[in-house]
Amino acid sequence: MLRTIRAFLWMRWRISRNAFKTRQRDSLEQISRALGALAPVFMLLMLVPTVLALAAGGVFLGWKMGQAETVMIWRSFGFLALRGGLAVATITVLIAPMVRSSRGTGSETTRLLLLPIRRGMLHASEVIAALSDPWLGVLFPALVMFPIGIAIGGSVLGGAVSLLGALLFVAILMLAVSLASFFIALIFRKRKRAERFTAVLIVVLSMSGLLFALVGDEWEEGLEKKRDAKRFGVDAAEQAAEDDPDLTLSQHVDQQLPFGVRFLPSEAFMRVVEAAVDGHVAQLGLNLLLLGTWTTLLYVSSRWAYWRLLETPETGGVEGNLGAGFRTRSLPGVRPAVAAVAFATMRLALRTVRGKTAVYLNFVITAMIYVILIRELSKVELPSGLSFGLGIGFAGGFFTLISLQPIMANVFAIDSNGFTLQLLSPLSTSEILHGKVVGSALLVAISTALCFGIGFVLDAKGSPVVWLAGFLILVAMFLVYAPMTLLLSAVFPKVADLSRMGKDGNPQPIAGFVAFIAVPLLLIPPALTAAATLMIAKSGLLTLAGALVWLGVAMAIYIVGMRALCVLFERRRENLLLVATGR
Amino acid sequence: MSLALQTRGLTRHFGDLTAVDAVDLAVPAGSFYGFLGPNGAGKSTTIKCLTGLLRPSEGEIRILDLDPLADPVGVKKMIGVLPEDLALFDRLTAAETLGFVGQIHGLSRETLEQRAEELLTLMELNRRKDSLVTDFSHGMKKKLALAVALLPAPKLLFLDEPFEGIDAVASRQIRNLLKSYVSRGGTIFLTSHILQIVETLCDQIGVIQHGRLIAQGSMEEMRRGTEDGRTLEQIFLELVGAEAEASAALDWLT
Ligand SMILES: Nc1ncnc2c1ncn2[C@@H]1O[C@H](COP(=O)(O)OP(=O)(O)OP(=O)(O)O)[C@@H](O)[C@H]1O
Ligand SMILES: [Mg+2]
Repeated sequence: MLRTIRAFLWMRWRISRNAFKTRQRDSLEQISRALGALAPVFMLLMLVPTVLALAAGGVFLGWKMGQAETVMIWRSFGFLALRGGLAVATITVLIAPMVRSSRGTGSETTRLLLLPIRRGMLHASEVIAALSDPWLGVLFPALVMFPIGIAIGGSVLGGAVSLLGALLFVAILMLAVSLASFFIALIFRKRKRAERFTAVLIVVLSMSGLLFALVGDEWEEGLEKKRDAKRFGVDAAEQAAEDDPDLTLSQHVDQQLPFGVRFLPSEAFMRVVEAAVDGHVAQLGLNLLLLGTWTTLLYVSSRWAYWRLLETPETGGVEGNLGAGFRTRSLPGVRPAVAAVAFATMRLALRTVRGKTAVYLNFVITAMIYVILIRELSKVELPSGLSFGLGIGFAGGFFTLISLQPIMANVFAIDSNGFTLQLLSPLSTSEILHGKVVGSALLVAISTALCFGIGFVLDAKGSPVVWLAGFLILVAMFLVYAPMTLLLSAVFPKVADLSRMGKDGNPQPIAGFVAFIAVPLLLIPPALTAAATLMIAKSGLLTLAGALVWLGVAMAIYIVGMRALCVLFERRRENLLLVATGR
Repeated sequence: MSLALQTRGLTRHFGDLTAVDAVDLAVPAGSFYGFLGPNGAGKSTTIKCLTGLLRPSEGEIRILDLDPLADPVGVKKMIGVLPEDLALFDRLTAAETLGFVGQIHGLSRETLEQRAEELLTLMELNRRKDSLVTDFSHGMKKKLALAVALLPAPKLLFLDEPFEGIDAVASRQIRNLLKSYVSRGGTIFLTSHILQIVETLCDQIGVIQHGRLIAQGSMEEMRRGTEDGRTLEQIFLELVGAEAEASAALDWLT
């Protein structure tokens, strides 16, 4: 058992250490990898003060609450802070696996499965690894320091019992986050299922938005009423607290919440602390039992999910007929070889979860935002020539550029072995690069066309000249953005799997970040011109002229940029190949 | 005798390691060249240098009378490659993969469809031609990669371990196909660890060890000077010095 743990820790350490052994790679690649590795370290450094502050806050709160003669206000404040904080923490921790790469799924796990290690051990190590989750990592010290504070405050026994409660609560969070990530990994094991899951997620998101908008009025009224009730409730609670000093404020707030809430782990933990400080043995026992039950339940189910995960191979879930046959497609004005590369890039994107969300989600979200805001927007006076429909289309195009960043900012490495095929084919460098740009352009075009379409349907007002100008500004932005992202892809390639949510599918952090902030920056100059011409000169034609000027500038940048990129690509091709094929 | 492929002093370093060390290859046009060597000898690295995936550290290459470093696209139009990592897009179907390659090589639609159908039938992939490559087994991927290499009807084929992982039926069909390709004037440069197959197919042999070419010539030349009836395996083991044979009995392994 101990031997296994030692071997396990050693292996993890060696793997992370060897990641830096890139002596045989060119220096640019070494820098790229170092920067990629530094990004999380940087994040961690920023987290340290947070952790320290939270831990200190925990001690302080505990200390205040542990003192026998603590003033009412401190007790109330302490418990409220605890409850709110813990509830928020629980939710965040559960959402985290969605945006993080799934654990327990790598080829490393396959290797481990072949060795004589008990599955229970593997499961335990995966659960403990949940502590490396930043959210949990931040929370853990604060949770542990809090009971210590109580002990320092004078109530040693209370502190000890609270510590037990805190440890159980942390265990529950760890198990819950593991269960969630195993579950998501299980869903993503089958590509088809992953896609369906994502589609459902998108639909649910948009439906909830629509519902929100449709029932908005009633909802708002209801909220008002509730708010009144709450205010009344709190007043009553304060009143009652004054009447009955044995009850805390939070106990009264409690009475306003549904009964089921008290079964939540965070609430149970809070009650343990409360009972420990106050010496209510029955409440203490009951809530510790509740925490224990949660731990057991989550342990059993996360173990079940993990074992299922180990037994489920990663499959595409044999696809039906995709039916494209040998049909090759051509694009007007584009060389066949360039079109071939472009369509391969587009298909790759449209057949992965990340690509699908990037292309289709914008359209859904844009429409949703519009529907939600429609009542507020109708009060706004727009400069003549503009319309909300154009705004929707333009915003859609803008967000498309941002959301395509996992594809565009890593456009070579995401092909993995397909990249080798392109290098083996009789393609010139310029054909490969233009193929990539055209492929991205197709993706942007699909998404933007959907957004412009829905914008036009919802509100087709405004002058056609300005609509055209809006579209041209997007084209100009793309013409600068495309070579920029190619540059990032060439300098910072990273193995990425677009069928994964979270970091496994993301581009190299620096590339992703630069691509992300580039889009709003690229918007500034044409947007300023458009604003000036529309609001001051009040001329749609001038707006169009401004857009055309920017289009010209963008074209010049594109042509020069692509020339330079061809040279750069030639220098980087060997390294790109090694990264794409996973070396 | 004209040479389809010739190198002079071909060298490739990886950091301190010299994976390919001053190799002088001479592959006659219309020959079936077997490139042999132990694991890690530098066979795949050589193929990658010849096909333009890796830049040679030193040396000259001539492929079909062209310099691939000066005219890479021209050379790539005439060669077909089955590389070590197969080089397929995971998210294209088998049919789309062939369509991609056909379009880049400028095949007409009819030619493409006819050739692709024939190749897929031969590789027994026809029923799965609309499945994504990522759902294929390893052997199926290799057969598809081979089809990709053959589709543009190249004059020179580079095949890195084409028979490893292929079932017996397909292996036999592929062997027949390759034989008739050579008899019609094509040239094949092949690596394989299955020496029985190499022996029946190849007429030229090159042996590489630790990055150095330690023997090269026709099959007859290789056999010459040795007693009659020796198999290629015996010759190969002798050339690379079968050190492993004598050493380490591993007698703890029951
Ligand atoms: N990208 C790389 N970086 C560093 N070293 C490499 C790289 N590729 C190959 N090598 C090294 O070059 C040497 C030759 O490798 P190569 O793949 O050419 O061998 P091979 O003859 O094809 O072997 P096998 O029969 O196992 O396929 C090996 O020592 C290998 O470790
Ligand atoms: Mg090899």
